[in-house]
This record gives sequence, structure tokens and C-alpha cells, in this order.
Amino acid sequence: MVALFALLVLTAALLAFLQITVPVKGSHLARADAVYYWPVAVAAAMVVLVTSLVIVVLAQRGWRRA
Amino acid sequence: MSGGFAVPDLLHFHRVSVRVVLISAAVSFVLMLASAIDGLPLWAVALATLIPWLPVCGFEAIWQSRHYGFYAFFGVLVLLQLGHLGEHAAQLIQLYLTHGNPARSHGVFGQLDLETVHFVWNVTVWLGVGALLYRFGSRNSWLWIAFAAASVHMVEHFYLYWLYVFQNDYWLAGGSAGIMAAGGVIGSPLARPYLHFGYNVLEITPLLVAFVDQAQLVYDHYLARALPGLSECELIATTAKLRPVRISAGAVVVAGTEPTQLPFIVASGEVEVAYEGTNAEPRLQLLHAGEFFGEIWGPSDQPRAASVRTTRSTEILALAGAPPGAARQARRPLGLTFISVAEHEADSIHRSGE
Repeated sequence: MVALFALLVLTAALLAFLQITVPVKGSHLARADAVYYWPVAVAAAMVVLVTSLVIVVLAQRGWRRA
Repeated sequence: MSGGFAVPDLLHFHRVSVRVVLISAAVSFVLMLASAIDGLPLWAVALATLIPWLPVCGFEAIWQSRHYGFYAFFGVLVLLQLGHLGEHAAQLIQLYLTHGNPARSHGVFGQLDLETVHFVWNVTVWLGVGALLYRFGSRNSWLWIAFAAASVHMVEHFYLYWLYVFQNDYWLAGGSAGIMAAGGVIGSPLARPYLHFGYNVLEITPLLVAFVDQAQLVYDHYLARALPGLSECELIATTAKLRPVRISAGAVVVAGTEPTQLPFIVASGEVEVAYEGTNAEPRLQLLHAGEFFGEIWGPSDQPRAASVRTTRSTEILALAGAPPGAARQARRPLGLTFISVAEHEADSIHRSGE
């Protein structure tokens, strides 16, 4: 468990270091534009949520049958 | 949790010998060196390095699938996801070397750095982890964490793929940041390549722990077929004592004149049990995958009248020590010490011939 925690801290530190020292170039949307398709993001979350629930329910039924 | 970590026996190579692994490693190294010296592009060097490993992994995956069932799929998924993480790591290195230029930082196999490929890959991994949850999730809490991480990652890719397909101009103008990356719908300090590397670390870490944990709960399917009376715990404990052995056609596995061996389970191919008392060597029985022969209670000093030989190339699982619950198995009505049963039949044949 300590090793896993250390790995996550190390990864976070690496990503923070890269984000600060090597910012990624590229086009950026203004804040108002970036949120323009937020309903699509919500729909994506719903699709994943519903599918995940179906998988979990199926899995639990499978375990009871086993 | 214990202090030391030992790789479970299940995760070692079984089908492929150490010699073949070493040869593959040497060929892989030479091809990598030659293609790099030849100045081939990075993807070609990587491909040349990986190709010698494909037969090794393929044969091992097929063997694992035959013996451990769905656990082999788990192994393949972990391996592919590790490769995927490697691609993201390569992208970070390229970003570092190009001072953050994403146009020159597409990973090793840059031709595959497409939104569609990312989407298909992540759907496959997400549903794959879901299938693992269905099969193993009841006793593997790490799989739940991996599934949760894969689900969060999937939300991003659903959104990104929708934009890529239906609002491509918006995607090109910066919508490719997605939901959580800097400049995205919710946003965070991390740019997309860094965020997605983080997603993959969060996904692969619990998956890897779940894979190693599951290795303690898997048993050999041929053992279960041969000894159906063993409980799941006994099957798991006994699987750790199995040693696969490949034997060519016509070889004697147990000679009648030798003291009785420990139990053997036929995993593939065929062996025949024959009586050695006459020149004709009457065949007593043919044994196929999932059947066993030998002495279930442990080695005996008593020589046997029946011998066992392979009729074609055969894989046998040698069991080092009597399995737990052997005594209970021996109370099965059909009897268990196959050699003893075979001998009884041999005596009958022998007497009827006199």
C-alpha cells in the first residue's frame, strides 16, 4: 500500500513538474466557448453511468447465481 | 499485507521454456539495434523489437486460457493497457524534448494517435474491465477501483469523440481539451496529454494489483476436471503444486517395474495404460485431457504391473505431493488410484488368459 501511495505521489509530482516547465502549445477556447457543449458532457456522463450500473447489476446477479 | 512481494507462480511462463524466452530476447535486441542503426523511424524500431515477443506471448496466452480460463483474458488486458501507458509515457518524453509541441509528440506509433483509436481503445478496456468485474469482482475489490477509474476516463472520451465526429471545427479550435483538461468544460491545471497520462496511471495501477491478487484465487481447469470432489480452496492450493511437462509420443511416463509415482493429470494429448505381464501388452485404458493417473496418496515403494505411455505428443501436469482432501477423494465410488484400478483389471485379463 505504501508503494502504491508513493507511486501516485511520484506521478502527481511528475505531472506537476511537466505542466509547469513544459506547457503544451496549441489552440485554446475562451471560457464561454469551452463550456458551450456542456450538455454533451452531461449526456456522456449519463451514458457511462447507466452502462456502469447495468454492468454492476449483471455482475451481482452473476455472483448470486454462481 | 506481508512485507515482501513474490511474483505468484501463476505469472511465470509455463508453455514457453526459459531457453525460448532468452532466444526471443536476444533476437528482439538484435532487431532493435539493427533497425536503429539503419535509421528506421521510431515506430519501425519499436515494431521490430516487439515482433519476436508475439509468438511467446501468443503461445503463453493460449496455454493460460486453456488452463486458467478467463484469467488469461485478464492477463492480455493488463499487458495491452501497460503498452498503452507506455505510449502515453513516450508522448510525455516527446513533449519534454520538443518543448511542449503536441504536433511532434504523438507517441511511438504516432499514426494511431487519432481520436477514433483512443475512443475504440478506451471503450474496449472499459467493457473489458466490466467483464472482469462480472467474472471476478465478487472477491476482488481492486477491480472495482479500476472500473471506476476506467468509467471516469470513458466520460472524457465519449465527449471528445462526439465533438470530433459532429463538431470537428470546434474540436480543432480547442475542444480537444475535453472535460477535465486545461481549457475544458470543467478544467484543471493539467493539459490534455498530462491529464490522460494521469487517467491511465489511475486505471492501470489498481488493474495490476487486481491481476496479482486474482492469481491467488485461480485454479487449473484440468485439475478441477480430474478431481471434481476438491473444494475451490483445495483446487487453488493444489494448482500451486502442479508442474506442466510436455512429453513426446511413445515415451513411458510410468514404468510398471518402478515404484508408483505421484499423481499426473493429462492436460492435452493422450496416454495409454497397458499391462506389462504379457508380450501383447493389452491396453487397459486410454486417458485424455482432464483424466489422471498415478498414486493419489503419495509415493509408494510397491512396483506396479501397469505402465503408462504417451500415444502422441502430450502435456501432463505433475502434482508434487498429494492434494489436500485426497482421502476424501479416495472415498469416491469409482475409486481414485487409477493405477490400482488398472492393475485390478490387468489381473483379471491375466487370469482369464491362463
